[in-house]
Amino acid sequence: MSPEPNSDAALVKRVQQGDRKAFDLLVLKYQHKIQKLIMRYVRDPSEALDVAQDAFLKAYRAMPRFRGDSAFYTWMYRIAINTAKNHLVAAKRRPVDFEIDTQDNEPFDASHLLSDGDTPEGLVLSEEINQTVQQAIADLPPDLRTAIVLREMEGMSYEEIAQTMECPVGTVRSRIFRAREAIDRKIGPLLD
Amino acid sequence: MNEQVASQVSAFIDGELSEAESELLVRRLASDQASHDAARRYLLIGHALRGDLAPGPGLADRVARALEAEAAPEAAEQAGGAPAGDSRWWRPVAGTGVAAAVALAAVLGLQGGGAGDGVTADAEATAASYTVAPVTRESAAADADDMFTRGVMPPPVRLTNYLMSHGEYAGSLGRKSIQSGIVGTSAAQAISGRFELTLPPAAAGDDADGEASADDAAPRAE
Repeated sequence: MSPEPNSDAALVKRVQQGDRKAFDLLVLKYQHKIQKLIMRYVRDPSEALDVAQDAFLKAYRAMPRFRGDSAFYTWMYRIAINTAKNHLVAAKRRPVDFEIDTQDNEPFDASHLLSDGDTPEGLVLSEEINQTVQQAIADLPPDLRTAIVLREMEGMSYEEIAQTMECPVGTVRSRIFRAREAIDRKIGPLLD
Repeated sequence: MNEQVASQVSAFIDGELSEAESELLVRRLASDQASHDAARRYLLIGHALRGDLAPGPGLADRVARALEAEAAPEAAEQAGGAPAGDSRWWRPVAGTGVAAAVALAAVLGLQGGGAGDGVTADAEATAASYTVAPVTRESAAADADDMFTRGVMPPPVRLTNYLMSHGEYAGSLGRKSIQSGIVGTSAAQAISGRFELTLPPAAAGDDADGEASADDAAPRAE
């Protein structure tokens, strides 16, 4: 198991002190992982979204009892699975048991399944954001593009990226930030 | 939000700030909406890049609305059961007042003769009528944090900025590279054709051989 990221630990601590905005960032960070996980149990997209919401709400309520013995995501993962199983039991459906462990990183593209109950506006906006981000990445200077792709898509640490790109860690941090800023400027108008 | 803070937010969502820096930044995120929004957008960019962006209202928004709805009756209940405003604001003042009364009585007691005894006795009676909870390290930290959150105590912005700027150079605040997870080979293969990456020759060769995507058990924290 990887150690708890400092960012997660700090956010958890703030949530335990009553800061709901800190929980917002934890949800944002892990929402897709949790949704994909739940869709392995609950196949219906809108049902899965409800179960995911329920799982996060349960986690929020249980946060005062979270001692940090495990990483936040590991804890959240268990809550999500239990919530999904309970949902199926309540709906009198047999839970389908998948052998999934917490290290599971197998890509599982469920995003297309989540479109059923969505509005056309929502579909258009997410597609526009996707396209804008892809174009913005393509327009980046090579060094910035490489740094952000290695981070976001390969999940490399700054240190690993520094080794790969043969530059200091501080340079990696700066390149990733500048890449995000450049992309942010492009998607900003879509989010306003 | 200045560029320095934005850069810290960027490193924060990657889990690349030290523990001390992270704690300082999350305090800032609670009160600085621009920083919080930047964190949200940076996370969104990551989701879009990985093709995770689902259409429609985001789960985070749904959860936030549900929590708000849950909190509203609780807040109303608290408002109904207690006087308006935060009743704890006077505690430090009251504590100071009791301490001042005791100190004054002690001084007068030392200076005066027979009258001093009376004053001291009165002061002791006054002091005894108050019950001041012992201040522990935890309660002091919680109070300070509470005051910080409510804006009673202005955040030490300059100190925070200084610590954050110099954190990576200080031993006790030394940065820790936590996120070392690498996505599986299949994910690496999936993106290989999408973007042209510029790498130093040797490293590019390693990457092409797929060694950078070797089996790594560490979970990826996005």
